[in-house]
Amino acid sequence: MMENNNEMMKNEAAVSPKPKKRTMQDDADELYALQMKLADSAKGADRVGMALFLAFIFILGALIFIIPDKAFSEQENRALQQRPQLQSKFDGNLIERIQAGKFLDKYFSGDFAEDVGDYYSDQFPARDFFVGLKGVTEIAMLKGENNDVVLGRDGYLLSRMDHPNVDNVLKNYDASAAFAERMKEIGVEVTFAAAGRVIDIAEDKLPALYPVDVLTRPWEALDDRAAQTHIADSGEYTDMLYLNLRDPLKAASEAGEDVMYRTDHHWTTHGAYLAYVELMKLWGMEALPESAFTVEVVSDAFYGTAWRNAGMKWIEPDTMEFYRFAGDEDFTMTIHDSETVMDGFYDRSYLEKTDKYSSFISGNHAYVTVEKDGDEDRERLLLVKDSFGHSLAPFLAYHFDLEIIDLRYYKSSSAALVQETGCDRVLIINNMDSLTSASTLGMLGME
Amino acid sequence: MLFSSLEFLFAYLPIVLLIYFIAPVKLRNLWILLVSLFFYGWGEPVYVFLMIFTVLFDYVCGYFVGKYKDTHHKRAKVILIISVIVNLGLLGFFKYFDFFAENLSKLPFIDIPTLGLTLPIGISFYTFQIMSYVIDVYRGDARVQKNPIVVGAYVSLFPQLIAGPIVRYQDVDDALRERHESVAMFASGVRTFIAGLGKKVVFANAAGALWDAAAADPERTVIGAWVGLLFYCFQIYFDFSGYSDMAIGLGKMMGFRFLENFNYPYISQNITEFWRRWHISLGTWFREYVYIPLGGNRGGKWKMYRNIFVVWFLTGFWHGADWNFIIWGLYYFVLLVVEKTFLLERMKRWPQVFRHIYTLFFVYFGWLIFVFDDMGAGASYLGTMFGVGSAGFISGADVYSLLHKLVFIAILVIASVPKPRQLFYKFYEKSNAFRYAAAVGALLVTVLVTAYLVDSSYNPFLYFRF
Repeated sequence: MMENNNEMMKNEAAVSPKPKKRTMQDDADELYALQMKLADSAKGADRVGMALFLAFIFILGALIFIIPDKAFSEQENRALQQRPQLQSKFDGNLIERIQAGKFLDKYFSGDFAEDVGDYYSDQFPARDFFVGLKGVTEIAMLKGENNDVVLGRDGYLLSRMDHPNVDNVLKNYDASAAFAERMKEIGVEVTFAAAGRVIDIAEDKLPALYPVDVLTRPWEALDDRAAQTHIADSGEYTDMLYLNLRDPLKAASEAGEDVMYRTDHHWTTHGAYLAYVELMKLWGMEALPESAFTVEVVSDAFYGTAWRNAGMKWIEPDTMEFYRFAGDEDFTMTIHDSETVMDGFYDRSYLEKTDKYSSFISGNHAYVTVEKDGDEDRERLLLVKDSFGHSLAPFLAYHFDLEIIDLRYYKSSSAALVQETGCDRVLIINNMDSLTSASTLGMLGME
Repeated sequence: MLFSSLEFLFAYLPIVLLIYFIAPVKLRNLWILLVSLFFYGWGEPVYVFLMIFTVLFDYVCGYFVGKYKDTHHKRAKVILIISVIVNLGLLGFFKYFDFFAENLSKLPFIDIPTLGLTLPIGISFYTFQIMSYVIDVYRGDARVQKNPIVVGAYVSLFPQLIAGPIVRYQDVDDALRERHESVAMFASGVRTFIAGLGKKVVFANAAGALWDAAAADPERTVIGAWVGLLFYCFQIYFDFSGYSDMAIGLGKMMGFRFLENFNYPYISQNITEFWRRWHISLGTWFREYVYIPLGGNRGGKWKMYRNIFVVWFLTGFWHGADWNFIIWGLYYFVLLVVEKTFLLERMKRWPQVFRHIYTLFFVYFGWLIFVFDDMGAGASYLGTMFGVGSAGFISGADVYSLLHKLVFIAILVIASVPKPRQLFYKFYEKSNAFRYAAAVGALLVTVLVTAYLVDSSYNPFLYFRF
């Protein structure tokens, strides 16, 4: 067999022109013989190589079975695949099972194979180590990023935002404007605010030559669309107030303020404070000065979403703060989804978990109400938000009672909610990623 | 099941190897057959019956072909023809039915519904393998195999079941009857397997992601399009050759010596040479079982061209049931005929580097035909390569991206030439220290591949928990 192969190669060599010196072709054509020569007699190192490989696959393979299964991944915030079953649960003996078509049904449907794949990736031992090793390798190859997270300066991890869908942004804006028109009829003012992601704000932390023109595109489109609804001579918005929160936060970031988390996609509490100041300015109201708050450091080990994706385990965690003001515990927060009632805006149980940002108003819910205890005459604001609204809510709560809805989950009429709860004002606030990735705000049109 | 999956590496493979080496030699082929059928049925268990039918059918055909070929030649020939028709019929039905149904239905008065069958994995590969058994027996190149288990083990042999190499029966006839597993072979197999695994997981998958991004980019620039297709060239090479290496390595662990399937095709100096280095087992199969039976180059020039045409039409069509594959095959038919008639002679005077550029140029555009089964999409991609419908010549994103892929591209280029492997063997032969370093290195690559596989499943899914 080997001879045949060499014979073939020699014949081939005769076809091509006579090489003056040794070519790559010659190198390639002798490799098989070299390889087989090495496979003829075992050396000590061969045994070691074989043993190492076998030990690795046998030991890890056994560990998967020995280590008890984890039910839930804190890091990824999702349920993990449990040990796969060949057939579905069934009460009855084997014959009844066969008659019911439940004999090895999961195997024959291919579900078993799929579950096994998930099981091995979900329950793999030392998963964090392996994820980190891949991150290091990608960075060592100078790719500058891993899993779409760019390694920036000063320990910033910036999630990429490629090919932003500008249509979605405009659809979201237009749906909000249409909603504002309806609200105007009942005397409720609507504000549309757009927040930037880390990559929009901390632009100076991006590596050299990073293409930022793509990032600005949805912002330009949004600014243009807002300018069209402007009344030129009075300088006032007709139906809806518009606030671009990227520019002020970017300026603050360039001035060296930590407005965005380095490892997460959200703004810091300081960043949320700046957004609050901008909003109050727009509404002609007075914001509390920053000195009025007591800054409480609630965690110095906040590893955000970007960190968890990046596999760059050497990046230092973020610090998380609550901006406390006197009397901020005298609020009642009602989470309607689960009919839970809490005091204040903070759910400190999340501080023990990975998803620490959810400590702000207890994370993602369809509908939450925040009211100040014993004061029924306050102005009421409907906050239509994505998760960027969570850390903003405590600041707003100082001035307003809040009805907070997330249109990714809230599937009833927003207009009806405004009327039922008697809201005086609506704030629609989303980050650019939410605005580009789906036209969620279309839900505002629901009757 | 893919070799490059955690469940293969950490469950299937250890169990298969453990029992294989515990089992008495006599039972090893049976074990191979059982685990191969299990491997085959993974995900699509129903098709195991198809496999069992194929094995039994060709076992019987082979048996009678062998029995009659010396005494009743005509009978043997009839059985051979039946076997070829049934095998190709099954392949044709499962792989090509919808293609013919769709295209014939475009004619007036014809309306054939498509079936939308899932393609049984590896059917293109194992059909060719099993055909080689009956044909080799008929031609006297191999002995009849009286034991159906051995025929079954040969056809379903899990290492090359899914993506080749296509092992001719005559090449493994002896090994199937008696083979000598050894530590040196096993160690060599481990090295080959790990090299293939690394090619697939670290190189091909990453290059593939970059190609996918380029193909889907709504604002593709001229440079972006050229670089994107370059990554596809790397993807298909490292994917395919990586898979072959894994198969060859697994075979070696169990004492089989398979021939090389890829021999550094991208170093080729002409298209003829490229096809001697690319997917060698397929080229060999077509030469042995199509080109030569058709008369090869005997019978005059025009017959030879006809034969080459048939081979390349079929080679193209074998790669997929779509027009672009046929065109891709005929593209190579034209190139090879041009080389055969005059270009090869003429090129001898060209500087080496020109010949190399010429080859890579045509291979590169060959992959463009190959990759788009939607030919409209292919044409528009080609357009952007030359500025038609592209978003400019080069963008800031291209510069940034290229800059950060330079090391990766350099690694891919180095891995596409034979020098590193040659140096590896030379040092391995000479230096004991190097051999130990290589043993540890192989483990590190395995760990690294595991990291890539674990990470690829790592999907933080933060906000949609209910």
